[in-house]
Amino acid sequence: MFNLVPLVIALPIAGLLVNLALGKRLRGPQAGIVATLAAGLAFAVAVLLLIALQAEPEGAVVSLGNWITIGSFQVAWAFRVDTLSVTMMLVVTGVGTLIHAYSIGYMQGDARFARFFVYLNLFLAAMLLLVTADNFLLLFVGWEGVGLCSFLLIGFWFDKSGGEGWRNSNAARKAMIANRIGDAGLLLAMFALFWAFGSLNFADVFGTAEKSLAVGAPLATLITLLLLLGVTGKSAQIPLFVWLPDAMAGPTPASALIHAATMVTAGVYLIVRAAPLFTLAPFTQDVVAVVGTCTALLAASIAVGQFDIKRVLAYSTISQLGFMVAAVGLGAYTAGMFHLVTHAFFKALLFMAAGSVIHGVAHGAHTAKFDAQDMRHMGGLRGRMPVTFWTYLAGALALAGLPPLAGFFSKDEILTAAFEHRPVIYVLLTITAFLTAFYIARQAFLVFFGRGRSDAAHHAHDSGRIMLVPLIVLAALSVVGGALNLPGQHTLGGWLEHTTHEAEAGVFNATVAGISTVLALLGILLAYWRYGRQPAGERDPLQSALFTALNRRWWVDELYERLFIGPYNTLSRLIATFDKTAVDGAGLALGRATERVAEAVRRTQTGQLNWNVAGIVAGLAILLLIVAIGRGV
Amino acid sequence: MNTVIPVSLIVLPLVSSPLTYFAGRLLPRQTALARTISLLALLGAWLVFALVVRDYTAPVEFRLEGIVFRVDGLSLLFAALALALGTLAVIFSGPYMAGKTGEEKYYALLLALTGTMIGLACAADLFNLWVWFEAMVVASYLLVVFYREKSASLEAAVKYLVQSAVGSVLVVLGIALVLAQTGALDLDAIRAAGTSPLLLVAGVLFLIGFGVKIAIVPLHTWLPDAYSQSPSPVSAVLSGVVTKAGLIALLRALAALAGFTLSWSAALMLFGVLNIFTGNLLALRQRELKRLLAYSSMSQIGYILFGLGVGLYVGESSGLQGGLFHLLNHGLMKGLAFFCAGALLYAAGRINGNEHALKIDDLSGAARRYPLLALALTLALLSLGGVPPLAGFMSKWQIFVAGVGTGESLITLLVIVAALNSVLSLAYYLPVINVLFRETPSALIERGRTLPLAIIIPIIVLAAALLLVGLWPDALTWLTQPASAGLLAAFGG
Repeated sequence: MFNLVPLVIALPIAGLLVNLALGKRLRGPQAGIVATLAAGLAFAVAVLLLIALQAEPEGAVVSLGNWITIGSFQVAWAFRVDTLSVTMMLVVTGVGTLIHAYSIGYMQGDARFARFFVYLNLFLAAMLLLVTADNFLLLFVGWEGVGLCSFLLIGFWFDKSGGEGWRNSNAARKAMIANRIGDAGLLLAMFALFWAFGSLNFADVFGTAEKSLAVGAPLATLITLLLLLGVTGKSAQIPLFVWLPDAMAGPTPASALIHAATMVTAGVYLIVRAAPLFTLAPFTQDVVAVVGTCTALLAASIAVGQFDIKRVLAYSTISQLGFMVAAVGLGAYTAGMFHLVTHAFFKALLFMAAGSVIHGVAHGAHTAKFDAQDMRHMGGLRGRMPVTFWTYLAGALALAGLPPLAGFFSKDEILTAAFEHRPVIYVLLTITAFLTAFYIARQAFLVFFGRGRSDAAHHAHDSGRIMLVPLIVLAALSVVGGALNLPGQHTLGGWLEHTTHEAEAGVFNATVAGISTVLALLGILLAYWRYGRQPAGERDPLQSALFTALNRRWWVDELYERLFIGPYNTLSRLIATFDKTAVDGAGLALGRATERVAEAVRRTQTGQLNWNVAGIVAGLAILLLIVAIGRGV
Repeated sequence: MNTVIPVSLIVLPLVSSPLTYFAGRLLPRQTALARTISLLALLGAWLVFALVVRDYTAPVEFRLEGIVFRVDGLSLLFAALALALGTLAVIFSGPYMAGKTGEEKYYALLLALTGTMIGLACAADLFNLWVWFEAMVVASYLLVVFYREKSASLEAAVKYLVQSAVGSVLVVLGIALVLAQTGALDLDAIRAAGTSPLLLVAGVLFLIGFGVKIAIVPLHTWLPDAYSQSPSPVSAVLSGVVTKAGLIALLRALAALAGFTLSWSAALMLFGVLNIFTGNLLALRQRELKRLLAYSSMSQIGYILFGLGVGLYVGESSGLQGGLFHLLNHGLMKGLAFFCAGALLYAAGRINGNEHALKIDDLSGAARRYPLLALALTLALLSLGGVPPLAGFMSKWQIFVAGVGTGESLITLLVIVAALNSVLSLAYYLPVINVLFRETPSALIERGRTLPLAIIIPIIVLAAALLLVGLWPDALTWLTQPASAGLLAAFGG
């Protein structure tokens, strides 16, 4: 049964090929149905793999043969089926299928409907390649593939009018560049791995590393730090997180799939996958934990000050990714993966609910110049969009971490791990949890409660069934998802243990759980006090310097502009001048010289037979002469 | 292994050749039948080939009326290439050659050409090697002159014939020398016989004699006319396989003489780089598509020579494997490029002997009307230029890695020159691609006919192969690995 694993990747590819070939001929939602079917079938295969794993939890490696052989360097088309990869496959294909179905409604009537689904399927294929790869190079192919799809989908509406198209394509470019910096780190890590271990196979690398490297070996630290750089790019951590908020320029289903549920968690997956290396580098683990914690806190604080409905969620995603990264930095791999799964449920849900809201409000708008994503224009949507509201509420409460919803259990496991190992991190993450409850409650009150603050909000209506059903499914998962790894049972922990070999099972700490629940309730109360009682006006009631700082995102983008982009542009201009004069001049001169030589050589092709035969005879004579001289005759 | 099987690999195309001719000749207006017979014969040969490969473990020797054949890794590699391009050429020629005078002869000759090349690859003694070689040249000569009423064709064919004949004479001289010195003709037996300085001279004669067919500079002058004036499917076979037949013959002959002092590998490397550079320079200012492709063949042959030279020099199989890999890839890329050129000529309805008339400017805007064709030609040219992830990049890279791996500064220098030449080659490949994607279609494109399936199929097959091999370079290792190991053993490495 394990041999089915290539199908998981092949099915989305088949889907995209069909849409690529027939896209222009398919009518209405057909392209979307094809793509959704492909994703659903991939999910079915993942379920089959899950069943197979129950019997043989150690899993297997399925190899389709060699890909590249150069001397001792060998890379195979090899896919790994183990508890970790199957968990990721289930999340990617499961949530992915729901989002595909949702997109049929959301993208209805778009000029490039079929193309959107081609990108979505391509993304699934790349993401599944990433999580099933059995070596770093194949993983890197998937890693780059998802990056490409992210770029394509962020800039999907590159041709919108009024400067918006430019903004979209700039956002796509920003994501590409930030990711590229991280990718360079991953590439360097792979070079170092090959240099040190002579292989890129997971089993070879980890086996050799555990045997030959002591804990704290500089080589392990170097490699893991480089890997971390890759993680900060893909998973939007400090310092490379700035691309993710801008990425919201893409269509909302893409944001839900790529920038909330799956791709951005690839970094977390990478750390869990490379856990044997990270275990050898305690210093890096500390760095990982600190990066994750700081990102979580910083992003949560920024989310408090945003008005764009999707931007709040974007910063929330960064913050939650920080939680996961902090968890794996603390060595709590199960907790990190647990949160990854539940977060995939409720954040995809929140994004899709937000998409439904935007969809509804935009349809209610009558003026052309209207920002359908600004929460200041919303309010009171509870009654107008009931299904969206109730599903959104389930996701919001799960994110806030209220028991017994999914987010409560997974977040709590991270907090407990921090509580036991690093008190400082525990304190910072608990503050973050409080901020989380506050900003998501703020959003809920601004969007759904009070009275509508615009014409559009008054005329909004709920979305169609194809969009609401996925919302309901995800809402159910957000409510009961915690059952995956209940305290005392540790289903997921025991399951992942076959791959991660994590000794320590997460424990339930009543104090930690109590404090976080109380703080979450406090956060919601505070939000109610600020935003819930009276309709918020044109401007936010918090008119302090602090709020401005939050609203302007702590000026991180501006800082990067000054620190890196400005000087880089100056340098580029300098080099460009040099290039245009000196380098181009030399190049042109060389080119002209080559052409002149070519013209001369062309003359030897006279087309005269005598001359040709003379060439043969001359060649013979010269060679014979060389032989004679060589023999000393 | 049952000897009937490998024998029929050679016999099947050769026997079907006259059958094809008579079928087309005796039954009026039955050229479709001739084409079907030749296609069936080739499919049969594929079947035999599959059987041989299935049972292949070590070189197989067999006799046919006193003639000794030996099927080894190199034979299989070359047979695969010859069959592949032969089959595709027959498919392609269906619409391309339809209604031409002597169409039945054309198919008979294509079959004969394929059969003689397989025979050449299996010949086990020097004299039969030469006989097969000559038979192949005769068949190809008739194909080059196929448009016999066109003066350009006649000119090309006369040049091709005379220069081939000069080379042939030199080869016979070399064989005579070897026989006089060693008293043996069997390749293995020559290797076992004593040394003599005159055998060196024989080696030089082989190098020059076979070098004419390989188009080693300065023996290349027949090539641009012959390639550009032949019918396009024939150009594909000529450039993709026939040129390499000379190389196979040369390698076989030199291997027999390998025990002697002059380092043939150095000669191969030097000629390789010379070919790369000269071919590029000649192609640079070319305005005719098929001529440009012809010159670019010279430079690609240079890469093959260079890789083989490196492999023989250090006695390691990686360079040889790279060279042979490039040999196969060049067959695919150049075959594809010539097929594309042919498809454009077909579209223009201009295939009555004016094969050289296709100017690069005529390709303008082809991507609009023939998107698939433009994509395929782009892939072929990029692959020729060595752009990843296409097949041509992989084999070139393998050759360069092997070259640098020798650790000798002189060879590393040659590698750098060769790599820089890859850049230089882009200077003539890229403008062609640029023209393909222009906005305004040329007159030729605008009035172009639609392409029939038989013309599109070979193009798709080869383009897909280029991509596949580029993404999965190990896909051809089963051919190149035994061939390079066998060659290495033959050269006593």
